[in-house]
Amino acid sequence: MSVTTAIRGRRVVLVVYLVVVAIAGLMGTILGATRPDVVDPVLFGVFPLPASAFGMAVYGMVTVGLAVGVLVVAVSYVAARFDTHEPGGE
Amino acid sequence: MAGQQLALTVLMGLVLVGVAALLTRIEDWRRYTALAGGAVAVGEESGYGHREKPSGVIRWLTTVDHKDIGILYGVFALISLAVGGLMVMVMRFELLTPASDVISPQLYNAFLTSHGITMLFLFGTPIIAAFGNYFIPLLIGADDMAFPRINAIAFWLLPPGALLIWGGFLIPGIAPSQTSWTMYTPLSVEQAHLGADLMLLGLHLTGVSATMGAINFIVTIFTERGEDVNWANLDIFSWTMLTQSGIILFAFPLLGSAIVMLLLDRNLGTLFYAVGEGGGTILWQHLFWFFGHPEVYILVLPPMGLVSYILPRFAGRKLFGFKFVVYSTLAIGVLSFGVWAHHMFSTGIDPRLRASFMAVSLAIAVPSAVKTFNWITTMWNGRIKLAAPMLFCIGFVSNFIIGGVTGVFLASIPVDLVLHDTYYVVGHFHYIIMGAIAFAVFAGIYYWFPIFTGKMYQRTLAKWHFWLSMIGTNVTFFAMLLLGYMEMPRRYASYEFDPAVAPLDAITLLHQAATVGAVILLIGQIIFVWNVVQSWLEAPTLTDEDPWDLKNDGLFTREFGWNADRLALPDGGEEEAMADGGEAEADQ
Repeated sequence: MSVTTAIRGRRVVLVVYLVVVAIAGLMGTILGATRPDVVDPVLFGVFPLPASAFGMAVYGMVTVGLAVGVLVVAVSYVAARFDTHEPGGE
Repeated sequence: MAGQQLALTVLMGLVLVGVAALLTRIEDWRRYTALAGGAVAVGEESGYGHREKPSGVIRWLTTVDHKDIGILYGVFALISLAVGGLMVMVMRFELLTPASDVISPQLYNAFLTSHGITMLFLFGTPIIAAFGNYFIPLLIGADDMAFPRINAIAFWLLPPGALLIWGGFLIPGIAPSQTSWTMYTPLSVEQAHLGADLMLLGLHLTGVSATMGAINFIVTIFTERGEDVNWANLDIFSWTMLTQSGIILFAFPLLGSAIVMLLLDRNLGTLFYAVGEGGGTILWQHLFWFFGHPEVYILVLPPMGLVSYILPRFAGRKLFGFKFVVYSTLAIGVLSFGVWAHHMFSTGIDPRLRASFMAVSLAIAVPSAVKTFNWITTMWNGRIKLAAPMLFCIGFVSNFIIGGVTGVFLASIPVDLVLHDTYYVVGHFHYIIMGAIAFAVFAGIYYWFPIFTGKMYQRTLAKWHFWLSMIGTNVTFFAMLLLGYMEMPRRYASYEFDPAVAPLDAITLLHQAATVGAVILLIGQIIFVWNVVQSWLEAPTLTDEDPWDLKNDGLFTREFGWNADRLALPDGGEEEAMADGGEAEADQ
């Protein structure tokens, strides 16, 4: 019995990645908008960003995007070279 | 007066004896016996004589069949989930406005305490035991659990435990416990409520239950495996249950001892946790968290096992890096006992001690990340079937990433000192407990629904359940993370803020967002209950032995094979194999 149509796994992973990065941006936006007086974003400890909703959103999205992005790149590298399972066989 | 009470006691005793005698007349339950060697002469389809399982309520009161006990655990856990969920709904409505105007602060504190204890000890641990009891014997090729009677006793300790924990709400004239689930001394010693004593006794019972269950799982997995099941091909869910049971064996007895000492301090004037004498208040925190942090892994390892087991079946591939997932499970099991003091960074313990606990706490993120990496890699090359179990698995992974990353920051001492006791902590651990653990539980329920009900759930309702749970979880706990950044302290029924710290309007708005998220969650769970109950009662019997199309991908597993055998029996499972010499009994 077919349960549902299948879609490519990497598409699902990339959508989840984008959602997580968007959540980081949303959090930065809200924090920057509500408490601009206490935030002081410095990207990678080097590049100062404006203490505003925009600055915090960029800070959140770039930091999380890069950190989780490294994981996704590593997954694609490992999956291409070491994931040997062929559907239809054990 | 004393004479009347004595007479009443004797009368009640006679009534109980009468009820017991009546039960024995209704069903000849004494024939419902275990065979030598641990096999049991009951069980619908286990192959060892099936005609002796009584009918009706008696069956459920007397069963020692692992599948029945699994269902009992499951029903009990879901009732507890409903109770704990409704308690927190009242709390969320209280927090809609800064003032304490829906319930009293005392009742809020009582709900806070009971919500935590209920969800961890009456929902979390039992629902895992439900899956373990029903499926471990099927997955490893055992006839039943190693100790079927102990299995039944372990379950039947839970209902009285729950009644004691909720006793403060149920018994008129007794105030419920208001200690929070952590029961920190000196508050928990000095709080005079009888409800706190009842809760401690109830908690003790649930701990005894969990320990008995853990011993049973360990012995079953070590000694009852089928001939073709060895350590190399043991499934990932059994590995996580084995590790979890090992943790329980070391953690829960300690909690029991600590609770007994607390009860003695409360009632007999001992000074185990007395300020300035005995061990002092910090002793409780050390003992409690030596249990408490492993408890986190007791709750999360089997759900990780469920996801590791279910996710590959809907990606059409085997789990990537199976061995490393097993190794990471064992690593977490060991490391979980070396991180407890990260809950105590702000108590003033020795800074050198703090630093070592910070190092281990950061290190334990590594095996968790290994698992996450392997789940994502399994999906990467796969062809994903977005059925309800898979949706919940993907939800688990994404929520676990958010809950895990926010947790890594808390492991860092300077960050923890700022965020300690704020809503950030609440948001973080709810992402794990609700967003991950509960999601894996739902994935397991939907995945194995065809086995334990013989029916199929309603797919559209299941997807509604997922999306409402996913949105509700993220709205509620995302708002809590933000509240934490704005320094909103946890455990308060009311709130007011110096505008220099945070604008009250923003705090109130975030609390309202969290409440809206909780309502969305509630609607999702109502749909879940409706779906499960209606599908179980009214859906047509499923005749497909491979409802998830696993054979095509070479991922058909033992428990579905068992189910296929059951479906193949022409009369629905009245097999009479007597493999170990047990005698088939004549009809009663």
